Amino acid sequence: MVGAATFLVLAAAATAIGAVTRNADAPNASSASPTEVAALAAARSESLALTTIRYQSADADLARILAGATGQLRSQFEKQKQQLSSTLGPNHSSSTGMILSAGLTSLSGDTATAVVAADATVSGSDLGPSGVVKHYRIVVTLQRQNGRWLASDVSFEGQPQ
Amino acid sequence: MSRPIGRAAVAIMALNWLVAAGAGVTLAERAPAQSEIGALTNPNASDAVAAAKSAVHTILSYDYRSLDADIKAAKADLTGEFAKEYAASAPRLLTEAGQLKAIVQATVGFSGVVSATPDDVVVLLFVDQATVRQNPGSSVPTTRIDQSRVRVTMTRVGDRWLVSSLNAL
Repeated sequence: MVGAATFLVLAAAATAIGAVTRNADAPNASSASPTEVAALAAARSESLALTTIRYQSADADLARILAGATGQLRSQFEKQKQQLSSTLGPNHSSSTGMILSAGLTSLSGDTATAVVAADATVSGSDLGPSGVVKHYRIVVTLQRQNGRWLASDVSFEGQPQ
Repeated sequence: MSRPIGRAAVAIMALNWLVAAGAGVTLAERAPAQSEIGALTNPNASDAVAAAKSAVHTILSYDYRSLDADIKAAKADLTGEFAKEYAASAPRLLTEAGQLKAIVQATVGFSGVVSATPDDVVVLLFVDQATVRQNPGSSVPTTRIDQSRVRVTMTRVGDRWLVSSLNAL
């Protein structure tokens, strides 16, 4: 839902250049360091896990979130373990995420920050048969533990649109 | 993506890059952690990100009372394909923004580097656009805030980073 005048510039750019820039996220392994690539991959994968939760597979989906999480984020979801299935079940709620783009904001020692643009198709008995698409802006804080990058905090910027 | 850069300029840039890479190696020998810093978080990328934030603010902000100056300022931050696209759409912006008395203020929030080479850096930015405008037939202005995700390619032209593509995701 974008106003014509509001996004005139954006819209024109998107139409003309969309096809060209579709592959802009193609990893540039030749110049990015392996550490940068690993941190960014962890941010993408945890954002995908956080936007992909379905009532039919709530336990497995939660396990996927926990596998990529540490610290505060992990304990937050560990607490929800019991309630998640019963929260999603009654409305047959499900969310299927897709990562559009991700970028590394900072990397220092064993800490990194990344931004992720994700869309999710959200459905449930209260949202109609085809569901709605939510647009997310996610900031992921990552910690490296035993050589693995894990998400320790996640914030969703603004209201999903 | 077209890059209107001459051969000599490319050669000079390549030379600069080699010098920079050499400096990086020296640093890496002193502090092992430095070797983990690659193209996504090195000073080259930081410069491109700073330029991206400023350019995106300029390109996505305008006021119907100063459209000519706003468009001129935006054009100064562009190069390649996107410069052509913007120039082509500017007359429409001039007409529509004028008719709607549109004032659009863009605020750039978090950003990160998607991919990078010495001469091209792709940056993802979260942008809020606050709009005030007068819809046809309405006597009262309407306001709205659009929260968007903008991906730009910054291309090095001489000693500047310019926007060569801009995409709303």
